[in-house]
Amino acid sequence: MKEKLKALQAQGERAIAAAESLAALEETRLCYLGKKGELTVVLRQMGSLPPQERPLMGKLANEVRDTLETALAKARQGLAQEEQEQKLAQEKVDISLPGRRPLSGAVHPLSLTRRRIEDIFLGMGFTIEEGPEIETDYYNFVALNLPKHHPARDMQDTFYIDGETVLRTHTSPVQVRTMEKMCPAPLKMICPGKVYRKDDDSTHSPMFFQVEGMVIDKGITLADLKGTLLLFAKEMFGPQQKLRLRPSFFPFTEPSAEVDILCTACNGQGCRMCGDTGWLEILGAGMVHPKVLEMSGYDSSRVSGFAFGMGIDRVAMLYYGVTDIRFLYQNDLRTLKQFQGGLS
Amino acid sequence: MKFSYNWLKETLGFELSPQELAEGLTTVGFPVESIVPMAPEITGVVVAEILEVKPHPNADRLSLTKISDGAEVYAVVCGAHNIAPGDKVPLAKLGAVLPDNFKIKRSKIRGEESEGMLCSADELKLALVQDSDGILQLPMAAELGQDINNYLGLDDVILDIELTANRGDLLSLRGLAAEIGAFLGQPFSLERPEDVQGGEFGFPTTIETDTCSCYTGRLIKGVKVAPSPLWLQLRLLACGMRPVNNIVDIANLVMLEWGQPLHTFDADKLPGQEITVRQALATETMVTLDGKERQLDPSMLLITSGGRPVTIAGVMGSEDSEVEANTTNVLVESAVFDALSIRRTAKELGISSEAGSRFEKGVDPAVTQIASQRATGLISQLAGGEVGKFSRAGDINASVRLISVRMEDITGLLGTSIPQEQAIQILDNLGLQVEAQGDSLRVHVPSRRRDLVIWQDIAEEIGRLYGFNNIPASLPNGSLTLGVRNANQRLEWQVRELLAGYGLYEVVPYSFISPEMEEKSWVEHGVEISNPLTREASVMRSSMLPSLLETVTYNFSHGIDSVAIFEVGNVFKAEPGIPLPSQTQRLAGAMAGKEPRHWQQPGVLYDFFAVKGVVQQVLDALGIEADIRQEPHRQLHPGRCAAVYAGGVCLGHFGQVHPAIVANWKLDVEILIFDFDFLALSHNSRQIGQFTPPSRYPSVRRDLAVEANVEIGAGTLMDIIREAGGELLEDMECFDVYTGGNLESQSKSLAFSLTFRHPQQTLKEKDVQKLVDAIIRRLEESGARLRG
Ligand SMILES: [Zn+2]
Repeated sequence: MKEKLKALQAQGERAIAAAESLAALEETRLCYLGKKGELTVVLRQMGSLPPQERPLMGKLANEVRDTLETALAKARQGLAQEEQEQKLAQEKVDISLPGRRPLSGAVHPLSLTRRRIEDIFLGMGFTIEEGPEIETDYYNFVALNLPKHHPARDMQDTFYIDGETVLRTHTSPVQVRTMEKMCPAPLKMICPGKVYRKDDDSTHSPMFFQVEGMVIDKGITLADLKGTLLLFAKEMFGPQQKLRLRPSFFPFTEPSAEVDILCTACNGQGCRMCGDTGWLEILGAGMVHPKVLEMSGYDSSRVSGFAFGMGIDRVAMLYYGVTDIRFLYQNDLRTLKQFQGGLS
Repeated sequence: MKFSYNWLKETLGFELSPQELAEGLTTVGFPVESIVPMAPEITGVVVAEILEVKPHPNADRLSLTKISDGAEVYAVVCGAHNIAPGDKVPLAKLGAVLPDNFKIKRSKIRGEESEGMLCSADELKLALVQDSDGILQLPMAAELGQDINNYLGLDDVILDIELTANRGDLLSLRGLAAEIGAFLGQPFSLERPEDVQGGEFGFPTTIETDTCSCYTGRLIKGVKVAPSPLWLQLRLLACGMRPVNNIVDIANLVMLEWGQPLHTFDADKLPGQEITVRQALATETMVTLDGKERQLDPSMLLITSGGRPVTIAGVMGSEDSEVEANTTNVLVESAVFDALSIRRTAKELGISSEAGSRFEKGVDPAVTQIASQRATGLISQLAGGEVGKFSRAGDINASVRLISVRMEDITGLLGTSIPQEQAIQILDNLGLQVEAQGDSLRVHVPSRRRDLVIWQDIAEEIGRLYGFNNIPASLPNGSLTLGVRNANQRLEWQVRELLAGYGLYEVVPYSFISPEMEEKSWVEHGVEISNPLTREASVMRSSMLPSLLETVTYNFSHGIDSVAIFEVGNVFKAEPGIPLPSQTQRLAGAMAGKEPRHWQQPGVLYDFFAVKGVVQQVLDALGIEADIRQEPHRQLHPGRCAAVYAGGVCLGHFGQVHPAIVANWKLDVEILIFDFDFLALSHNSRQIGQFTPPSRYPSVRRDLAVEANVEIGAGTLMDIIREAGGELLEDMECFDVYTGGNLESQSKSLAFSLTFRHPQQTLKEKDVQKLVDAIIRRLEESGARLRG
């Protein structure tokens, strides 16, 4: 009997090792350890043994069962792993095929630029004001110290609806409306929006976007204007930025200045984009003309203010290297697709 | 304005290069747009003298000359006939290069050797006026051998200076030199000419209007009209003007010197022996110098003689009174006209001129008489003649303006403190007289500086020459302010991000469209622009639709077959009785063509449910509880259109563009659009509300297949299910719709998946069954029935 058990164990171990699949292994288990398995058969013969041998044989039989079960478990694990590997190998996909992307469009580059500019001024405590695009002659010109037939009206070639109604040539009328609304309280605002001028070439569009700003309070100075715009330029175009102010003339400011930033292409070294000057003109600015303050109700001997304005299109063109302003209004999806994910 | 660099340099005696001068001008506010040579490059051309002229043995039209440049004698063959021994002429020596890269080489002309070429003004590309055609005759005093560029001053450059609208005074040597002198610390004033004593003859002069404050005329008899001397012609060329004849050239030169435009008449061609300045009559016409007959009107200022107009004052003279070659008696006009009147007239007649552009910005009454004297002197010197008396009407009103300014106010405006002595120095350099009175300045502003009126103007002058770039940068003092977007502005960006996230591209089309676009799109007429650039951009749109359709058309025509776009923008409508047209902000979009395809999914086209999905998604994101109703809309397909209501207000509509409109645009595709009133969206938008904890209890799912008549909307069925399901119906999904097959022709089948859940307990099977039974009962009452 003892020999029989030994032989059974050796035979079983061989069979387990030879099983090539989990199914074959199960068959082997049934063959040895099942209800009709060989070990069971042997154990049934235990009754015919002398009683003093029974415990010994019982122990031996249990040992054989344990050994086979351990071997079985081990083999099962190995085979399972193998089968898993095979299955995974079969599940392989061509990862170079395109993914199922959620749709994604884009915000227009002019909006992206406007948003950046707005955010910088919001951060400095400015509010955002809006107003009509079709304006009265009064708000667009007269209230800005540009009476009828003033020669400076030629600076802005105007679209008219009728003698008294124009397409606003700048967003300044929003400043006037805001002054009237806020007076005599201090104000700190920007007004972005569409403006219109009779002009159409690679750098001028008959419709374009402007953002103008204004601060009115006691003791506002030209130096404050410089500081505010410098802060803006550094945030918008990089910490290396510098400003250059050139005296100029606008009827609504006194003094008036054109404001240049360091050329964004060459950082002031001089290149083709800046005409070798190292500077790019992006802003017009100045101290609000006392007549403009007075017309909107402020006492120009008590408060002063500064105002500035820039073309959002111009900033966008610099920012994204757009060479012709007309690309911005063509709405060609091949252009717009390049601005996916641009809002940040 | 174009001006000669050399003239400024000679006048002020500075050492600045043209680039340095341009930089200085830029710093004080007058950028130089270009610096161009007054003449094309010429090398190897010198002043030479003709020693001998002999006929060419083999050619009648040519002559053989001997020419000396002071060092050597050259044999030159010449084809011109205006030469004689003793003449000084430009000689292009062998190796010389004339404009257009014309190289002078040794050559044989009809058998005779030529060692160079004698040059005409044309060959040197100079627009000079000469007595006779042919070789350019140089003055006898010209030094032999001198390079022609040096001799004629052709090395000069023309500065094109960008002036501001308030500085008419800079349109002259007088003003420009004073401005440059100011930043060089070298105050300048142009020297007054001496007056020529005149005889007692002249034309009586009267002013009958208040748009001319002063008119002067001076008669010069017996002048000889001829080309101007070279120096005068070259000076005009260096300022970008063309020489004509001595009389006209002198008038132009004096204008360039003093800024006072002058007009010269042929006195014999004037209809009367007098001058009257008056407004035009409504019936009057005049043929101007350019040959055009002009209809005049009473807003226009005229110079008349013998009752007939001879000049539209300051704008253009008449054809029949201009100075010509045979003129002998000249009347020189120097006057002050009202700037606004001249500006209006010039604009109305569409005439722009050097004179007009100066009058428009205002001329200095202090120089009316001086300029006339200067011109008279030059005419008698260069054209001879006998000078008459000075006839004047009106007053010379050249008063000095006094402006007082406190140093404290200047500091308060500029934000930096400039020492009083320095401020005085600056004003002094500008040619303004200043007296210090304590910490105040009393500034005497001459009539030349019309732009200086208020103390801020003086502060600007000080700041400008002190240098804006020397002013420090600071930030405004004052209380903290809140910089935040208002609700509407926040929503605008939210919507942009949402729609971009759903695969739509934001577009920015022009607000102006064409009447044809309106017509093709069946939209109302917008607000007309009275002076549009083109008809294509002549109406401020009343609807977003034409812009959307144009953008779709543009992209399809460029081979893009999938278009999904949106725009946030304004539309306009004229409102009777209200001064300004109304302006409404709208959110609109369009989808057309193929939905972006994937290799796992078959390609589909954008359809009604694509746009509805986007609309529903946006409405949900904005927290708008909307009611979507089938409602006809003029521009939409009658069976595929919907309106969105919230709070009893229509927020907008969406659907498929009417196929007839699409056909008008020559397209053959379904175009889906949405178009909302942005403010209405904003007003109905809700913040995210109170939080409800999710139920801990399991859900129960049931699917229902319902058959109903095709006329019963899915929405109606869903409303019924929702109502009957009550609060325990957590979710409902319509997951299948079909018609045909074994269904009756007027029937459709819809499959719904219902999810039930109780917030506080596990639902019992029999409770769910009760709800489902109720739902079925209600569906059956409305004409639907449960399938299989
Ligand atoms: Zn550069």
